[in-house]
Amino acid sequence: MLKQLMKEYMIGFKKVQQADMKNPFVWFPISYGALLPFIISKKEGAIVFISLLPLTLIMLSAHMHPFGLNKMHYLCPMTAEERKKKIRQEYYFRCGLHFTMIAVFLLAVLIIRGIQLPALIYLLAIGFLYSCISNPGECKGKIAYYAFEILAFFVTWICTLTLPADGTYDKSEYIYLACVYALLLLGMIPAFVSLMKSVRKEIEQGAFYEKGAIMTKS
Amino acid sequence: MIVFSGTDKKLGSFRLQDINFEIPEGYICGLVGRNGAGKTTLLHLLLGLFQPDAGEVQVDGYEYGSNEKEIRKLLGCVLVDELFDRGLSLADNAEYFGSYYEAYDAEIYHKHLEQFHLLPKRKFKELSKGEKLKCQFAFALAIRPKYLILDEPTANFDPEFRDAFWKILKDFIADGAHSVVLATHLTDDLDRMADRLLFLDKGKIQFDGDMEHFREKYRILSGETYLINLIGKERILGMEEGKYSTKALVKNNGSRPYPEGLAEAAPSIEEFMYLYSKGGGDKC
Repeated sequence: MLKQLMKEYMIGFKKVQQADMKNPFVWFPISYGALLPFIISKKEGAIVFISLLPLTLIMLSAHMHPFGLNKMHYLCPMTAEERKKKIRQEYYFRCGLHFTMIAVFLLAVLIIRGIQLPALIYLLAIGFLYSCISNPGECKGKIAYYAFEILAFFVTWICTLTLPADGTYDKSEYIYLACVYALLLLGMIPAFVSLMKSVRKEIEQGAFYEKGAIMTKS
Repeated sequence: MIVFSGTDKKLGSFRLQDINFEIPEGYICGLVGRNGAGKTTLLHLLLGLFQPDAGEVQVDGYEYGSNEKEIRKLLGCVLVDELFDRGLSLADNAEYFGSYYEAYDAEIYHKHLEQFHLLPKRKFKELSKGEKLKCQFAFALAIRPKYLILDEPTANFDPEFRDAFWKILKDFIADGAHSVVLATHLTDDLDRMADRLLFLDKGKIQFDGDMEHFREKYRILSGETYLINLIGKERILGMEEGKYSTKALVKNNGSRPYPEGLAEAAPSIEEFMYLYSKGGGDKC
């Protein structure tokens, strides 16, 4: 099953042109990050840039690999329940892959320069929420995805700006930052719930061509 | 056997109403009608892409609600939409989608690709419209279906391929265990090759029967207008008045001879559709 899911995910790379790459938010984090070294100090800019890199990769991945079925899938011998299961698996696979990317990146940062616990927890939590972004293709519910992407980006951006260059905080900043992170995460929960509702709807409706088909783009 | 019984489907302002017909094994069934008559909607219902609002669609006794998977194993289709993935090669597409079918035979697929002069490593998006349909046709044959459902593929085929296409269809139904449902506007081919005809107009079936019955049931009469009017308006389905002669599509009633001076002929599907449209419909 994992092999099949990976195979289908890899197919996404072969049809990059087909993916919805017009969404400017895909490119926003990386372009913003690339400009930072010229705006703020090189060191801080580089940190922010590197911090935003995995998020950009996830956004690219989400947009290259929309989950859902095309018309041919509805003609293949599958029951509605099997189609639903397939869409759900595709979605979970993408979430897992994206979270692994974030986790590996954070591990690397942890080894190279160290991250204090509140920031690590915060980044992991944000990473998890971010990993759940997946492009619904031509289906409804795009607004929820885009709104979440923008929100997630700005919240992450605020976090990266508060990361000290040497990886440690002053003791006076420690509690203050932990509270800020907690508040930011709490603020994201309604958007995340809305996104999850949209995902559930996509999966339910995706089982039926009339309700949720992604037409192969010509 | 494909059975539609009392099937209704509403799509926006369009409605497919009270569709009843049966297509047994061993037939090439032509599905004809004007643009917007409901041909594609009917095929989508047959393929289970749309669910009927009322009535039933059965394939070999199976219904989509309870035996969807079994039905899909029996159906191979070529639709106007591009069904294959544009970014993949013809071989990769068939390998990927073929994995869903137990009966998929890669050898048959590649044999047909070769016959249609298509290279398996070419990307689907690089093909012309006609080539894409040929490729999908090759795949539809490779899954070894019992029924082939084809939605207007012939218009995009070159004349040379069209002959090969019809030969394949004839071979497909030759054993009497397979059938083809073909929606097309190229009615000349249907006149020669189809065994059965379904004529749709404004979401209703106006004719359902075999071709012999069709040729028996209707007549084209040509001659003076006053002679044609002698037949009785209730029998005239459509009429076109020309400068020197008038043509009319009428219901044939073998027991009552036509007035002398009128030329009588069995209609071709095209003539039937043309004159029927002149009459405004609903009289079949």
